[in-house]
This record gives sequence, C-alpha cells and structure tokens, in this order.
Amino acid sequence: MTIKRIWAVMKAEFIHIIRDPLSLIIALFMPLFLLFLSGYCIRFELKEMPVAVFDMDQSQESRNYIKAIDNTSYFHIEYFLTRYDQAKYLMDRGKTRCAVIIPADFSRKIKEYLPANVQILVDGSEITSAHFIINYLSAINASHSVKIADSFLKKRGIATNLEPIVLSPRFWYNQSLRDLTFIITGVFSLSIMGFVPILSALAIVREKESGSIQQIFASPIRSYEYIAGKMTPYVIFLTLDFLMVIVIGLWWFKLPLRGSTLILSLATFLMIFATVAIGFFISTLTRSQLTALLFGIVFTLMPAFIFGDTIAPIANSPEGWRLYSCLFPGRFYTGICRAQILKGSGIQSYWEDALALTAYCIAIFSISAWRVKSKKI
Amino acid sequence: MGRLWGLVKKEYIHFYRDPVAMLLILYFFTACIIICGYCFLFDAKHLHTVIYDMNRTSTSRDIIQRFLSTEYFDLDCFATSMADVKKRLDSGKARVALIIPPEFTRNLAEGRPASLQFICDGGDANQAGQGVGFAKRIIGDLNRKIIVERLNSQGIVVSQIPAIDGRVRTLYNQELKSVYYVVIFHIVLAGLIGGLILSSTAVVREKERGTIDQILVTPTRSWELLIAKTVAPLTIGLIATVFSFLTVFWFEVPCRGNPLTFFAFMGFFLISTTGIGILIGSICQNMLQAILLSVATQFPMVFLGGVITPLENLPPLLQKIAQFQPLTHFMIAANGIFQKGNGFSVLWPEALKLLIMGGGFLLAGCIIARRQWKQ
Repeated sequence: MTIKRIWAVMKAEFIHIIRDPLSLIIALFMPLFLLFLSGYCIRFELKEMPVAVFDMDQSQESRNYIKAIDNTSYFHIEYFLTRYDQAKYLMDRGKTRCAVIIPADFSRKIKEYLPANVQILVDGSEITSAHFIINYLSAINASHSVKIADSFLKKRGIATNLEPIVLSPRFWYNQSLRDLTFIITGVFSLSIMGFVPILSALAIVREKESGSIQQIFASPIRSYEYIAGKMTPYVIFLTLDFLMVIVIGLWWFKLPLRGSTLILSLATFLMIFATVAIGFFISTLTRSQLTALLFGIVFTLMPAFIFGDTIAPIANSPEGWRLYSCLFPGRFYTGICRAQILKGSGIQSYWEDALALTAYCIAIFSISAWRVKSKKI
Repeated sequence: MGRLWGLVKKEYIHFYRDPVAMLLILYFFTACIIICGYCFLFDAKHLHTVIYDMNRTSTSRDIIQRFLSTEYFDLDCFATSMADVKKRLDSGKARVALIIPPEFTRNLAEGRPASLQFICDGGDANQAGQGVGFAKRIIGDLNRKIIVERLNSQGIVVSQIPAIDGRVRTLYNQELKSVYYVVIFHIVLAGLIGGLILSSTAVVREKERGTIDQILVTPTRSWELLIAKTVAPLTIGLIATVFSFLTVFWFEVPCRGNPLTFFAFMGFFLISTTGIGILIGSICQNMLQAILLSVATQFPMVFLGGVITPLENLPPLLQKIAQFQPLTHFMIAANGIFQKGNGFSVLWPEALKLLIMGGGFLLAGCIIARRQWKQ
C-alpha cells in the first residue's frame, strides 16, 4: 500500500468536487441553515392561544372560571360567543382551536357542591396543539376545582387535605424542558447523514459514466487504496462541516455537554465514516448519476429525517418499521448524541447503539470494498 | 399553437424518458407518505414506564394498575433500586418512572400528603409534558375518590365533592390520531418537493445537455418554451396527486370536503412551486445542483409553514414572514378540506392568496429564465 497512490486518488477526487462548487456549498451549508431554522422555528409550547367562550351562566362563578383560564400565559380569551354553533364556525375557519362551553347550571351546581360540567371543544386536526390544549385545560380545571372544593369544605368547617396524593414530576436531563435541546441534537444527526452522502453517492458513478473506471481497473492501484482515496475528501468535508455545526449548536444555543467529548467524537467519526460509506455503496450499485442521486435522496436524506429519531421519536413506530430503521445509522448516532449532550451517561446506557454503529460501519465498508474489488460495478 | 403543443409534448417525453425523476416523484407521493404515516407519530402513547414500588401494598398495586391499564403507559420493568431506575432512563429504554416511597400508605392513612415521584425523560419535552398530564389526571381522579371516602368515614355523607368536570369533545378527529395530519402534511410536502424538482430539472436538463441552444435557434419564442415548462410540471404534479390519494385510502384519512377542491388547491400551489422551480433551474448548472437546491428551498418553507409548529407559537416577525409563502396557505386549505370539510366558501381567501403568490413566483421565475436564455 502506498500513500502516494491514495494521495493521487484523493487529489483527483478533490478536484472533481471543487469543479462543482455550488453543490458543495449547498451541501455544506444546509446543516447550518437547518440548525438555525430548527432553533428558531420549532416551538411546541402554547403562548396566548386564542380561546372562544360561550358562557350560558353569566354568574360570578363562571366569570371566575373564565378569568382563571385567561390569566395563564397559555390561553387568551378572544371570542365571547352568543350561540353554540359559532364555536364550530370559528374552528372551521381556524380562528380558534378551542372553545369552552359553560352550561347554565354551572353556578347552581357549584353552590350545591356538585361537580359542574364544562364542555371543552378542541380542534383535533392539529395534533400537537390539541394535546397541549387538553393537558393545560385539564390542569387549569384541576387547580380551579381544588379552589372550589376548598371553599366548600371550609364553609362546612371541615379541614381536610385536598391533595392526599401528591404527584411530584421531575424532568431529568432537561430541567427547564427546553424543546431546543431535543431538536438540535436531532439536527446534529441530520447534518451528517442528510447532505454530503448525496455528493459521495456520485463519487464512483461519475467515473463509471465517463468510462474512466476502466483505466482505474487497468492500473496497478489496489481496490482498498482506491476506496480510501475516494472516500477521504468526503470524510474531511463532512468532519469540517460537522465541527462547524456542533460548535455553533453548542455555543449559540447554549447547549450543555454533560458527557464525554471523547465518546461524542468517536461516535461522530464512526457516523461520518458510515454515511460516506453508504453514499459510496450507492455509488457502486448503479451506472447512471441520476439514479445514484435518486437512491441518495431516498436512502440517505429521507431516512435521516424519518428514521433518525430527530423530530418524531422512532420508539412510537410499529415494530416492523423500527427494525427497518436499523438499516440506517442515524438513530444509533442520535441516541449516543443525546446520551452525551443531555444525559452525560456512562457507557452502559448506550453500548448497544455504539456497537450497532461500529458493526454498521464495518459491514457497509466491507460490502462496498467487495463490490469494487470483484469489479462488480 | 401547434408549436406550443409540440413543446409541451416534448416536455412530457423528457419526463417519460427519465425514469429516475419519475420514480423520485412517485416515491414522494406514495412510499414516503406511507413510511411517514407509520413512523412519524407524535402520540405519547405506550410510554415505557419503569416502576419502583417501595411500598408494596394493595394501595400501591392499585395505583400501579391504574397507570398501566391505560394506553398511555406500558410497563418497562419493575425496578429494585434507584440505580436501576436511573439505568433504564439513561439508556432510553424507559421514558418515565413511577416511584412509590415506602412510607406512602402510612402518610395516606395519617392524613399527611403522600407524595409519588414521577420522573420523565425531559429530553423530548413534548412527550414529557404529555406524560405528566396523563399522570396528573390519573392521580386527580384517585384523589377525588379518596377525599369522598374520607369525608364519608367522618360521617359527612357526600357522594362527590365539587369540581370542574371538563368534558372534552374533539372536533374533526375524535381519537386524536396523528396519522391524519401526517398524511395530509406529506401529500402537501410531496407537492412541494415534487413540484420544485419537476420544474427545476425541466429547465436544467436543457442547459446540461446543451439542447437549449438548439431551441433558441428555432423560431420558438421564449414565452412559448416557458409555458411548456410550466404546463408540464403542473399536470404531472396533479396526476401524481391522484396517486397520493392511495395513501389517503390506505390510512383511512377522512376526506370530508370535496377531493376536487383539493386538486384545485394543489393546482394553485403547484403554480407557485413551478415558478420557484424555474428560478432554481435558471441558477443551477446541472441536475445535482437543481435537486440539492430544491431540497434546500423546501426547508424554510416547511419550518415556517405552520406545519411542525402552529404559527401562533412563533415570534410575530416570523409569523408575518410565514404569511408570504404558499405552503402556509396550502396547508390551511388541505387540512380544512380533509378534516374540516371546508369548501371554497370558507377557503376562498387561501385560494386567492395562493393564486396571487403563484402568479408572482411564476412571473419572477420566467423573467429570470428568459433573461438567461437571451444571453
């Protein structure tokens, strides 16, 4: 094995890449773009959500209840309805996602110390906000109920604890429940897997299309020297790209890094290697640049989003799809990434992910190498 | 007129001869949607729960049963130590943990607040929040039951204590299945990516192969060429949308409005994407760049489209910017047509906005493309 040969192939590949600067720039800056988009445009928490209220009771009690809802930062009473069907009218037009209907017997029930029904209409067409609305309103109802029950019992001169069982929620790893940390760690995985592999998918195909692959076969260069030379420029570009993304991600968005930088670096290197190898493998499969591009998008970019555990957790999917997602290294890397950045946990918690990632690298590299060597391309 | 038709036919033949582009478009309109329908779920159901019961009485077992019998919490394992719990949460095998301290029943019996610890993996704040919500509701019901029992035992006969009983009625999507929204969103997304790729590759293909020069030599006017390059992607996109309805049937997504209304809106939307695509195609020199740039363009449109996050959650400046892009309005229309059963009577503002934007983008794209060809 001579370094000179590898270096020669590397230089040639660099020149190929640089000949199309626009593609390179897009591929390198996409992750950064995505980072900032995700950081600033994804917010799951509600803020001043407009709510419609139909108060058929118009009593002091109902007004207290409405004020309790309005006083939170999550909801803002925007519409006071005069007819029941106005609620659906507003929701059909997307003017509000939630309507609270207070029946005429609301205050009577409360004065008679019975549970007072309230109907909550929620727009179910948008799932995440629907869940939030239901949860938050239930919490408001619960705390308001405690207030009412309190005065009920006080009037009777009974002192009793209104919360016999206290549920103390604790949020590990992310005390302030910042959406951001979850999303940005997902973007790290996306940055590696999403874009540069598409470029690497064209690496060998270019040679095949122009026919210069035959010259490679005729030359004394060994297959592993060729592969090493071809893959290295992409590994370098991807590493630099990722360094840029992670430095900005951690610094700009003030993410913690609780675990070991070493583990993160090792995992990152494996992931970079794996994704470039995937692109490379795609390259060995086809003769046409366009087909390689198609496979590149379908098998690297899209799976990075869907199966990389980035926005929607893969744990929710059915068993079969979860197995299929193991074909893509994104989820292993996201697991390790989150483990290090958020949890700072030791090796025992993510050794399966690490093992899977390593095995994946070896497997895909071997298959590609075998294909090149046996000239099956 | 015959010239125009000839050019349009040529575009169709180009597309037909390019199996890669065809497969890609088909993928986005079918397979991608199906995969995402299964895997892109936001429901916090079946959360893996690790339970550490240090109390071990019938009361604690009852509480555990109340948690596990819902569809929200699935048993991961019964831990025997805090270190165990930490391990399960650290590794991500469990997302929540319920910890019942040993003195729980004693506190309860003696009227002291009996606390339970509910630990969430805060990494996914969305799911953590939902998990806590469910847990609080379960405990809330139990608390009310306990209070009534206590009062009864003190000789105060009540069957219930006053409370606000919120009855939730979900409109449009009773079971709150996230799959409906995911499928609708992905059809819209397919329209976006498909539209962008179709039109940008149509323009770039000629440049790459050098055939643009041959066309410019002919008596064809550039606007005829541009019309051809607009009509073809538009119609192909609409045909692909027909295929995407397969996924609608597959996932049993309700279409309460008129499907033809949806096709109309898809058409309006594709006008915008074609315009942007032509712009992209003029900037790029080869197919790789065109496709990469198309993919790049859809990100800001998706993130600022009120799709992943409702627009009300964004800062006001971003909300205003979001109003100026077509995806926002198409998504409102799409959701409206499928889930709410809206028609043009409700959605005409969106239709108008889409048409105006479409015209604008198309005009911009064509002007830039023409300027390039003139050189």
